[in-house]
Amino acid sequence: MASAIHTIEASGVARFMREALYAYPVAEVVHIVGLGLLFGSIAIVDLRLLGLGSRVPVKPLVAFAVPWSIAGFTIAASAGLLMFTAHAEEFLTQPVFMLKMGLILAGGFNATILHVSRSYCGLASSLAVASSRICSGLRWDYVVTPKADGSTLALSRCSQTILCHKRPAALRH
Amino acid sequence: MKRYLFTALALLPALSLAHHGWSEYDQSSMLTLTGRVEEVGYEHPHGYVKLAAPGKTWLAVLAPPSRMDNRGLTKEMLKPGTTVQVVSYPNRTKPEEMRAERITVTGKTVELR
Repeated sequence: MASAIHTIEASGVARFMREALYAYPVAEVVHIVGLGLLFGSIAIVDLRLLGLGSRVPVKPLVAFAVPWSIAGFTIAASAGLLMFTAHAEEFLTQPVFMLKMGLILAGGFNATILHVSRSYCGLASSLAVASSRICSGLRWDYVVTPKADGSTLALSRCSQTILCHKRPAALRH
Repeated sequence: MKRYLFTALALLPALSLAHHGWSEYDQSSMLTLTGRVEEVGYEHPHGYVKLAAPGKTWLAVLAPPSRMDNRGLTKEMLKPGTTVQVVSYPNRTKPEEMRAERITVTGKTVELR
């Protein structure tokens, strides 16, 4: 393990990241751009699953946004990996870095469960119902679907129908 | 669109400054030390020198090389054996480490923040 880390830090890429005048700053910018794309695109999906913006259909929204989230993650992770090589040992001994990696794993696990299993439908619709109860002043019957009669049960059933729609092609494995 | 681009560009330096915090250094106790440079790292994300000051050898964390180069402190100027003066703040938890606010090398003072 220790020798593997040493090999990484002694590699040409790592030296380039440490010593080239602008490689590291460029990687930092690319990392941030990737994060912006990841969180920006998935935030829109999350808001939709919470019941906002019902005029936008869930299925095409997810099919469009999630590949961009994956692209954002890939960009951020690639730039991050380049920066990691520069000081691998230092990163691995930082508790904050390990916490960050743990959170990324947890986030990936969560996303996998949401998109591969169908259990997320129940979760998402109960979230929609909960938010409709909290924001009962708003027309949540219309927010979730124009056809809903407004009752919680119907709302739940409606959002189930919307959210548990056949998984979009982009998410099938 | 143009306005968004300008805003994004204006925020870039803020990002690079925010990257490693100054909060882990005690900015209420400023040190001014003169000593001989024993070791140099002109590297990202932060340069450093090992500074042999009277009674103690410090690790002085400097700025990213891109910023130092931009401000006229080149790699060639920062060599082992050179005598430099560093104005810096000690790390709150690592007793050997300090963060340099500015450095004076052969009569030239460069701001590092």
